[in-house]
Amino acid sequence: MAEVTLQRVAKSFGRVQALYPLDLSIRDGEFVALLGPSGCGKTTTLNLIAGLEAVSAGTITIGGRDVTRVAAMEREIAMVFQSYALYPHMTVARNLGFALAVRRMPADQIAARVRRAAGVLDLLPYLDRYPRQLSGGQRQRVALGRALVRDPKVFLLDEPLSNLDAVLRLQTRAEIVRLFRSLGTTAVYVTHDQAEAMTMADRIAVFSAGRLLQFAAPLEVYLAPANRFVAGFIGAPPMQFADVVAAPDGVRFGGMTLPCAVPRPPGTALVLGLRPETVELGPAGRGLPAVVDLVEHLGGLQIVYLRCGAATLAAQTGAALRYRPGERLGITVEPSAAYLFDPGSGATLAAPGLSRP
Amino acid sequence: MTTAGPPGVGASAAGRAARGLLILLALAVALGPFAVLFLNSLRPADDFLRPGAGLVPDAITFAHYAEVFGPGSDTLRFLANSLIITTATTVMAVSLGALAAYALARLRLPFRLSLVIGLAFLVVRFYPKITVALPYYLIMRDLGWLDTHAAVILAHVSITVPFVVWLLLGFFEELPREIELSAMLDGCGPVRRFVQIVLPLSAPALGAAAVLTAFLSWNEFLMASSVASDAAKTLPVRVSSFITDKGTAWGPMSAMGTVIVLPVMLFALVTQRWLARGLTAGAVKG
Repeated sequence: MAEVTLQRVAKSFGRVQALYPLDLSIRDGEFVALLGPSGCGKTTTLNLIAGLEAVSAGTITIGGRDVTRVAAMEREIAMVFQSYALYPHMTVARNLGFALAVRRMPADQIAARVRRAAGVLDLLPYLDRYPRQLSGGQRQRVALGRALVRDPKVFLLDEPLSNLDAVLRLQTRAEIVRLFRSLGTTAVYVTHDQAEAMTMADRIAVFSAGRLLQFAAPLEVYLAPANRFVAGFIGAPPMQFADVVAAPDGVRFGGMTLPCAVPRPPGTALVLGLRPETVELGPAGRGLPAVVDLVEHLGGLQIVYLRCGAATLAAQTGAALRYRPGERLGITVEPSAAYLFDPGSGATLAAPGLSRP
Repeated sequence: MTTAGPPGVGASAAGRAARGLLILLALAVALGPFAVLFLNSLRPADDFLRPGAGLVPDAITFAHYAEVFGPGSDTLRFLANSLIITTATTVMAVSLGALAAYALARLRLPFRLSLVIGLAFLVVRFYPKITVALPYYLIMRDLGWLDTHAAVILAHVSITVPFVVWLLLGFFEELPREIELSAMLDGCGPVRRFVQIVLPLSAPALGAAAVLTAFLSWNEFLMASSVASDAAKTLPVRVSSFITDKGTAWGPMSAMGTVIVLPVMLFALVTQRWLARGLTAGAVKG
């Protein structure tokens, strides 16, 4: 167990700046998700912590020890790769015990550790099989087990669930959360799936284009996003945006006024953000007029996309009521649910999480 | 109306016959020369120049084999030379080639140097070997290496290494890098990684490279004939010396030719599944 600290860590490949100077302080035993679209720098960050890439600048410490120039194999970390990277020519048991064998641990101790890890991961019946004889879920568990037996200071996981089908992914997600809660070991988890990050992580680090945008607890990232990108990336269905102008009593768009607190003088151009779950649908004439554009049924709930003036908004409601495209409705929004962003920098000006005392 | 299915599926009788004929034709082209060689090795000496002699000899004799392997003949010595040179060439070419290919596949050289070097290896195979045979003879003469195994082996290694590199470069590039990164995190240094992870995974490709290298070396004539006159003479070179100014010894030449070709054919038959797997490895992920 150990805390992981990155100080002014940057990485460039030739002239391409993959990661701008970054400060990240991960606490002992914390489960941190690095979240962002592909190419945002999250995997680069993970590889830097692992020692698979050398930093271009900055310092990395693990458990108080400066490991910036320490070889990957001596950093006492274990990594689970997206492709699992199992050794195809070794049985499950040998795959699990390989790292211990390399470190010259006595065979009986290796066997004991392998059995313990295999027990935790339900792999005991498969110890003599080869990776090619396993299902995708079983291979994924072997990859996890290979990290577990090492008893490392830090676990690094690179999108370990992305090769699983949807049902198995949800199931494994819960299993991994349970496993890491019981281990209490520091873990860094790279994902592009905001739902994985929200449900699994103690804190989420959101990346975009090589920059860390926000590092906070899931609900904080959700309620008080640092900027428009984070607001749009976290939450499903995603937040919808509209160009608006500040007015004394709210924001104006398309001749309508949405009442809310505006921290800018009237006439300033702003971007309004509304989360679909905060948009209430009602009969036409109540609130802002809107026309149903598209309806997505998700079983227990539905997402209704609406045209409201020049803007497209979305509302998430229960499945009880039926809406048809072209139908005229009225929408209402709690003033406190409105997010406001600077149209130039994208910085958050107002958010429910910010206005709280 | 007949529906046009994919070729080969539910093909008509005529189509099947045509296909069978085509395969027979291909077999005849491939095996015909060997059949003639083999039959000639059993043909009595006076049958060779008899007018109207058919493809199949009227009588069969083992006299040519007796002559080739009989007392006072050097055939076994040349066979031993061939075996020594082929084995040494295969071991050296595959070892060197594998290391070079692995380095080229894994080093991140700037300016796409890996590709340039890889192509350079390929180009080596394009020019006529005769252009280096004479200079090579002169170098070996000056070194005092003429008619030694080393001279032939060195020539064969230099011919086959580029081929091995080219074959294995593609294979190593396809080998998932993450498996090696994983081994690195598991604590393996470069040597252990190569020996315990990369080599076992590359066994099929290395096997294919070894088999093809062995064929090339076993059959090679030009370089061997230019530097090996007696002590290091190989079987293919020996065969050519049946053609003399006093005439051609067809019978013994055919017998020795059969002795050269037969092991190659048997070897190919035994290793063909492996060979096919090695050559297509990487194309389909296992």
